[in-house]
Amino acid sequence: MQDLYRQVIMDHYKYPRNKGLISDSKGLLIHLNNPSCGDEITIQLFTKENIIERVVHEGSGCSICCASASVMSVALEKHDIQEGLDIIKQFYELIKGLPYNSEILFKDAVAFSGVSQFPARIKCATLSWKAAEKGLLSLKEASHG
Amino acid sequence: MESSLKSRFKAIDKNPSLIYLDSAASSLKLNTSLDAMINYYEKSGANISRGAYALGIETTQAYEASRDTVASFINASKREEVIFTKGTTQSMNMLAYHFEKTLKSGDEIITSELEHSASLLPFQRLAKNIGATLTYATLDEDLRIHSEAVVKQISANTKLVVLTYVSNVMGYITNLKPIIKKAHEVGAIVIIDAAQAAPHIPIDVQALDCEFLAFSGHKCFGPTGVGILYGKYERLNQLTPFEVGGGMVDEVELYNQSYFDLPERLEAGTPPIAEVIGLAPALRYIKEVSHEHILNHSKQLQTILLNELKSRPYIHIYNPKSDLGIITFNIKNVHAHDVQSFLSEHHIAVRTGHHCAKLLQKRFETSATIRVSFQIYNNEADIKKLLEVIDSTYQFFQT
Repeated sequence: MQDLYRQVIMDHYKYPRNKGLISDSKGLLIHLNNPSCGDEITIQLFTKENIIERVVHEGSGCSICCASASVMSVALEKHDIQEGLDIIKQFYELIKGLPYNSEILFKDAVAFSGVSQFPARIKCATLSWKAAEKGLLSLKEASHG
Repeated sequence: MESSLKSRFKAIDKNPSLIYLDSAASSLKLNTSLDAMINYYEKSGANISRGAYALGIETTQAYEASRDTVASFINASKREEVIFTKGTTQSMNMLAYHFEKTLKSGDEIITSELEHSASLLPFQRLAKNIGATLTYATLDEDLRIHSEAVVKQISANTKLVVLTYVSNVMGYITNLKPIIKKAHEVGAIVIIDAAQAAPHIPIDVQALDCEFLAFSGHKCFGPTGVGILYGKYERLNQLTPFEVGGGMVDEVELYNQSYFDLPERLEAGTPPIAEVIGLAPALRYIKEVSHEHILNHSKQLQTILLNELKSRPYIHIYNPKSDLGIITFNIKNVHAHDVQSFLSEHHIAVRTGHHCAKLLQKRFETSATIRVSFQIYNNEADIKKLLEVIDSTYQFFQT
């Protein structure tokens, strides 16, 4: 169980970074549910000239879901949209217990490697990342006209 | 665990460390049910009501004997009033399919927020499709269906009343008789979801006097993939077949078709033969052990666990007045899924989430709860272990 609830994860759960949506702003909102357990998350993506300036999040869910949203918000910041999508892809590899590129995915996100041993929690860990992926893909598509 | 019980459920024998507290979702399967299914597959495999050879006839006899067992289990007046389906969900969809053709805009359907998705969704969709009025039964302060209030809600406009017999989240037994009596006074039809009732309380469809009732085999120590739709003969025989095909067709002409009477009329295609045959030993077992014993046993465990949980200020119980061994709760400030991971590590199986009753979850104002449900194979040692893990999980999230 210590492998799932690592200190880094519990820290992000108790002290979430970038939590809280920003009202009256132009950020792109994406809302996703995990229908099997009721977790729900809304993320807000702020980009400028192809760069992810900030990601904020709000929602309710288990500690893995909430901590993962916090980690995601930090991991994507200041990267361009394609780099953001690459980071997300590497996170999915990590979560599945597959080899991942440690030059693309590093720092706190790596703490979620233990999730691969708990298949029931994979959806919790990936919900916010899927929301970010959805948003970034729509921005990428829009920029390509 | 009593050795006699252990020998009756292979899942316990094969998983000695398993503490199974999720029987409201699906019970463990009785060995004699599994044996009956394996016996069918190993010795026969023939279809029913088709081939006139010995194996085909024997299979048909075994299949129809299961219908007799079900009819006796719910005290149906005729064996033809029992239709085998895939489960409660399919039974309810079969009914909604029919009533979507016979009800009209403005007709009223009364249901409740305690319904499982199986009984809520088909009729909510029906109401939306035809413009019928969907009215939710009044609940009392404990979120129990308030029978007296529902009696007052039923009017000349009410055409269908669809209610759960036992709530899968609250463990409440609905006082159906006055509701059914009033429904009949205005000519309304009553449909009962007995999925959670069937393993816990005796079902007597004649005493209830409901038009239709459904339940599933897998919550009754029987196989998955088989359920029951009961209906009063005349009502059931009027249903528009949900499916048409082999086994139910009487005459086929180039542009016309006609169907057999019940029960074949509503059992198109090759049914789940092995599962139907496997259901009979499970229902006979419930009768043999007796609903009274099952209910008493689960209530006894419920009382012990409730008292323990109530003594812990960090536990929130949603149904302290449950009528049977179903307890729904949360550890305050700890998400149900986090608790589940800790329990799972100790081989304790509970249900977490919305339990297919999303409207009720909204009433709780939480996205997920933990549900413990007891059956005859549970004991006090299971509760002790459960509490140990609950306490340690709470401690973990405090540090």
